[in-house]
Amino acid sequence: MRLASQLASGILIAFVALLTLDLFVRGAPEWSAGYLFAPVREGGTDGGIGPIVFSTLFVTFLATAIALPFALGAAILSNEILMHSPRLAGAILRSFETLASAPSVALGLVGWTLFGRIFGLGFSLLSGGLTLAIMLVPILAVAFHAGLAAVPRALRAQSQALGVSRWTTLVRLVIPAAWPALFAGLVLALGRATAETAVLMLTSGISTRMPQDAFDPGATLAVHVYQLARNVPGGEPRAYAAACALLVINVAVHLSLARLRKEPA
Amino acid sequence: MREFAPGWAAAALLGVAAALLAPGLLLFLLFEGFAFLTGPSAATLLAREWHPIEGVFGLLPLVAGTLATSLLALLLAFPISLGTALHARFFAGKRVRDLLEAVLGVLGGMPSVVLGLFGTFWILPHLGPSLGSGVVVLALMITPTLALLSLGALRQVPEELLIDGARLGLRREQVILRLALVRARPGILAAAALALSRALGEALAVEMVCGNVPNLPTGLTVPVRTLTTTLVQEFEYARETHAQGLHLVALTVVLLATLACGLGQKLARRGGTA
Repeated sequence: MRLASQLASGILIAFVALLTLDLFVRGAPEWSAGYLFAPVREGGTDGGIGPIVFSTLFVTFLATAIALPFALGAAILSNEILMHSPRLAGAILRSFETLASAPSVALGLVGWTLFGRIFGLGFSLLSGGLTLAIMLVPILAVAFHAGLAAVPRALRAQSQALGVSRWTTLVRLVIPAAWPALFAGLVLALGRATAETAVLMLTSGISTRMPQDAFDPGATLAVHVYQLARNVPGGEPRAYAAACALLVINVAVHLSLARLRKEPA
Repeated sequence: MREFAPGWAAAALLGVAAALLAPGLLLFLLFEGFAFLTGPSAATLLAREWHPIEGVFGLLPLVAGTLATSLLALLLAFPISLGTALHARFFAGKRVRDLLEAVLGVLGGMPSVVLGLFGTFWILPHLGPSLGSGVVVLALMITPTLALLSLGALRQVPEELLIDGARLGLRREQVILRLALVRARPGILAAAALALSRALGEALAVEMVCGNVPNLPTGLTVPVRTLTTTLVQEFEYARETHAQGLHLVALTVVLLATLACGLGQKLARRGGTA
């Protein structure tokens, strides 16, 4: 049994080592000076990934900005307003579990039909941001809810006993106390957003040109990796380079946000 | 200090809107799918072929492709994941345990499209665009979920139970098999259900390697197509009946994934209170 479990761990470690090494050995040599900022040429077989990086950041931050107020509202609703009706609060949380378990490509299809065709946005950064926001709401809301719920009830009671209103208690006391948990939820959501492919391929499209405004299409990095690997002849080595960049950006987002958290005003 | 009523009202309003997203999504898919069901092509849903250009929308090969890739991926990932979890919990020293968790973290943080790319280079040359290749890529994708959640379930087994077992003269293996695994079973099954839910819903990583021919999955080397990959390939040019049919395909995969996830959560809750 010990042997079997060692074997399983060994296989896993070997696979992940191969995967990571393969990514960097094939991907890194494709990088040139300014790869991250240069325009895409020849469908991606030449040049850099500047517009792709821009589209990725734009869509991710747009989606997060749209999703944040809804998720925070939902957490306040389920945790503070419905404090004494756990059944209703539970129903709200279950609706988020359902939404979070929905396959992202189905969400992408709904975004394509609703924003792209019915609202006439076509393939655009705006359509991508709106659809991605729907995907992020449940992730953020569940994390925010857990964060607020972890703040001791006694803290609220003490504050209110001193004559502080419930709203001020929430804004000045509970949310700051829950901040690390809220922040962790945000990082989780950003990680999921940058890795997402299906939603964005169906909504923000596969264009590799620099988008001029939010109504222009723009491929995100994950979509670009997919396109290079699948639909651009001779694109595979460049797909590795872009995949490498995707991982590096993912890590950079995590690290810079972690640093921000350490120095609150 | 006075209450800030607009603040509460805004929070409640935003919260209600957010909570209505899930029912809204289902209703939207139902509405579009319903239009298909009342249309002329509804009868073809039960056909054994998916051939939208000729107006034949048989879901069977797509559902079979989705179930085959996902269930086989679970079957492949399960021993590796459970073995890794058992190793990390019972056999490994601190250093190896940390290494295993880091490795699972790295794999879990890989965007699925990167796993698809890996599959294109390392698995396609051996298995070809086929059910088997899709299975391997999906297994890689769900292993971190499966292993980390199983490890969590094993960690929740009280230490005293294991010590008591050892005191009663059970060998280490018996303690693990008869006590730890039995006690952690609901949690491990929950992990399997959640991993299955993720596999059912993955689109692009599978699309890159599975061959995309709507065959019935009769062998590991047969090219197949799943519900999700159909959406990716046909959404852009689909119009009218075809587009409505795709919404029905999306509804089917949402229901399958939600069902698996709900089952997992039910099991997890039972595991938590056991």
